[in-house]
Amino acid sequence: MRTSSFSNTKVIDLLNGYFVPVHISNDECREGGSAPVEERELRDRIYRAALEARLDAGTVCAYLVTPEGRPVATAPLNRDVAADPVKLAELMERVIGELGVTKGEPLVPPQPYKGPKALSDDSLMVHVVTRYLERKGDELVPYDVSDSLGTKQAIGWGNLPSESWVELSRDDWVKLLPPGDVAADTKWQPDAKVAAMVLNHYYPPTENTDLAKNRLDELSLSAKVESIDDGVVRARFEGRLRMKHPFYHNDDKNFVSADTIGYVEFDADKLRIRSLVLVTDGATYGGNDAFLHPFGAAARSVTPAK
Amino acid sequence: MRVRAICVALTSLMAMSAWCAVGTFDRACRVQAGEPQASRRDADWVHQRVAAWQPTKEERAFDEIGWVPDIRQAMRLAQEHGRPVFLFTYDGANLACYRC
Repeated sequence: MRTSSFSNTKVIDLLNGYFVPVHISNDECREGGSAPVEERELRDRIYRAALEARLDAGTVCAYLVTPEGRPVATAPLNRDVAADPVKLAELMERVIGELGVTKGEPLVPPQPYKGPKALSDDSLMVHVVTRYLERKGDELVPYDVSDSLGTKQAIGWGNLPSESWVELSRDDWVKLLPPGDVAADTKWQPDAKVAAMVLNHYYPPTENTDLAKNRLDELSLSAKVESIDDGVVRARFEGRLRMKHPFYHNDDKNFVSADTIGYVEFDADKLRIRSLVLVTDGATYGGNDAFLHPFGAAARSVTPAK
Repeated sequence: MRVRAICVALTSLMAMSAWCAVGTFDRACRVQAGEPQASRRDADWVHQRVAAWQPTKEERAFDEIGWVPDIRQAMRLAQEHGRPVFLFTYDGANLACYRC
């Protein structure tokens, strides 16, 4: 949906001008999920009402609902409307016409998602982007999908990057730093469990985003000070990762294999990390050595959302 | 021939449930794994990669939609403004992760 309909200019204009767009994750609505009870109940009520109205419904589905809460049309992903921007726009225009809706401004200003709010002021928020790469000459570069984004042809897991945000508490991020005094030749092994909190997100876009289904078979990370300048330490990270990560939710034989290189800048008194960047080098994902897909992962520390 | 065989094997593996994966892997089959050796992997190289792999404006078209934070607010705004609600339910941690 993001690659096709939700990247289509006409669908976006219809959503902003005639509808009240809202989305909710089914995962957040499951037992133990973060969605409030009232949200789960509303989602369930709309789902049941759609079924009672003999409309198609599903877990991945768009529901077009009257202001009174009555579903009048649906577009499940497993049918041919939701991910086809032309057909979805037609469905939306039909509902607009039937309900006599007049065009207006977006009721909520569009704004990019900036990640979750940090739980603590001294946390380190790390943003991780992963994407499939393809070879152009001697380089591996992101797919160029500028011509197909927003069309039905753009459907595919590889056509957009995925993003994750990882919050490291102070107790966590301090374990990435050297345990004792810092000198120009200091070398150390950053804490593997804390490193794993970030590197667990080193997998390309897949249907499965459940980190509990990852299995870290190899994780090594070493660090070495490169410079100390006016109380600011810059150190280089080098590491290697091999991780089982199923593409779908069922088990399979797909593995991530990647080297990672990065840099951390921190105050010599270890009161804060100024910046952290880590990228993959030669990362692949796939089922066996003859069948590996290049991808890239880039992690960087960011200012937490307010 | 070898590439074609690989594609067939991959498609068989991945087509088990999600139709939307096929495009990705057909495309991925066209490239070889592994990266060219760079002479140096220094800090500039790392930062260039971080920048090059960030989502582009076109890839973030989704963010141009004025999403309402939750269904309760959506229903309230719908009644106030006489607009229908467009509710999208999906699987995954959040829509920033779920990008099919």
